[in-house]
Amino acid sequence: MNHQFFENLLLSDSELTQVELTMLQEHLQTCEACRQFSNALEDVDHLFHNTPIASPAVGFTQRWQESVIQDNKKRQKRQIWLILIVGVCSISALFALLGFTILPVLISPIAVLWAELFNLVTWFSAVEWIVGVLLTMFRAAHSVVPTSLWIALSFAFMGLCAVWVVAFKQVTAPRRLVI
Amino acid sequence: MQNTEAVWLVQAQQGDQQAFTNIVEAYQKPVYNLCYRMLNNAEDAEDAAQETFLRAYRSLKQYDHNRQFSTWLLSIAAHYCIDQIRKNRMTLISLEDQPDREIPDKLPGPESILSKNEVQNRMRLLLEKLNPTDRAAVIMYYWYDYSYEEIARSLSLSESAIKSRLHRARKEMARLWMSQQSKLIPAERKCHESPVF
Repeated sequence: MNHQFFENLLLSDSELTQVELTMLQEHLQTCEACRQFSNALEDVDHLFHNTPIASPAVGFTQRWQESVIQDNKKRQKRQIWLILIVGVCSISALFALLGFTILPVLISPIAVLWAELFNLVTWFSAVEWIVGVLLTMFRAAHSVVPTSLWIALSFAFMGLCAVWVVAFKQVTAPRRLVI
Repeated sequence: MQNTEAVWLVQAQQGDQQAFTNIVEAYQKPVYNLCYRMLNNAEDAEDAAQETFLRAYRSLKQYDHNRQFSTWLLSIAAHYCIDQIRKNRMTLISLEDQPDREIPDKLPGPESILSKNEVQNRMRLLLEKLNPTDRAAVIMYYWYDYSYEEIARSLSLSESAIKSRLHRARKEMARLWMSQQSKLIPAERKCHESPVF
């Protein structure tokens, strides 16, 4: 006998066809195991459907409000701790960085002074070299381009500057709204 | 009720704590019941229900108004309880040994209390044997009359998975009920037997 099939029929939530229903009823009349299973299933369904909803103890909402206050306090504390930890870590990192920068000066100040002096001299020589290059280029251009063209170019440049200033004022000036 | 609830939800989402307190007042019973049936313990159920409302309050801005609020809320409760059961599995104490902490509705007589407690204990045993997700599905199916779709949405599972889980769980509970009955019948007979015989 296929008990599994009838058990599935008993557990089914969808409505059974007339044929299935007849088959099930006939089977239940002859099969003790399936009858017991059917009764047990009915008992369980009945038990669950008739058990009332459990209620919390009186004052649940009040306790919830208190727990919200407690939770807020906890969160604030956590935030304060977080800010403190981040602050301490940042300051420590800053000090460490500063330490790494200052440490060579503390160990051998004269060597650091010499190194810095060397850097300064290098910078000066670089600037001097750039100025020299620019001057050479200017002289070369001066000998090639005639003076009248220089004057024309200067005026053109000034005109462009004036156009730019006017355009900029037009763009940035507040506009009057027409309603 | 639906309109009032919608208003409360909007107000609560805008940061009105009193509006959410009204929601807590309205939903305390279903949430507590779910937690109680899941955890089988009044204290744990109280904590779980409180935590559920707190989590809902904190993540209220993520709540989608197209979804039913009760489903969303019970989903939070169910997931929290499932997590708690899994956490506590390592230190599992037999619930049969624990005293019944059900709060009586009125003041019933001792016989009534006895039979009520007995029924409650049998139901507890049935639920206890199920795995946490099946238990949540069974609770939603019987107590809340949720459709398969609603249960599936609450437990983040597919509808077919819920159907098969419920099928399996109901079968398991019926079998357990049968074994409980078979244990009870000889005991009952012994009670009624005359000591003379």
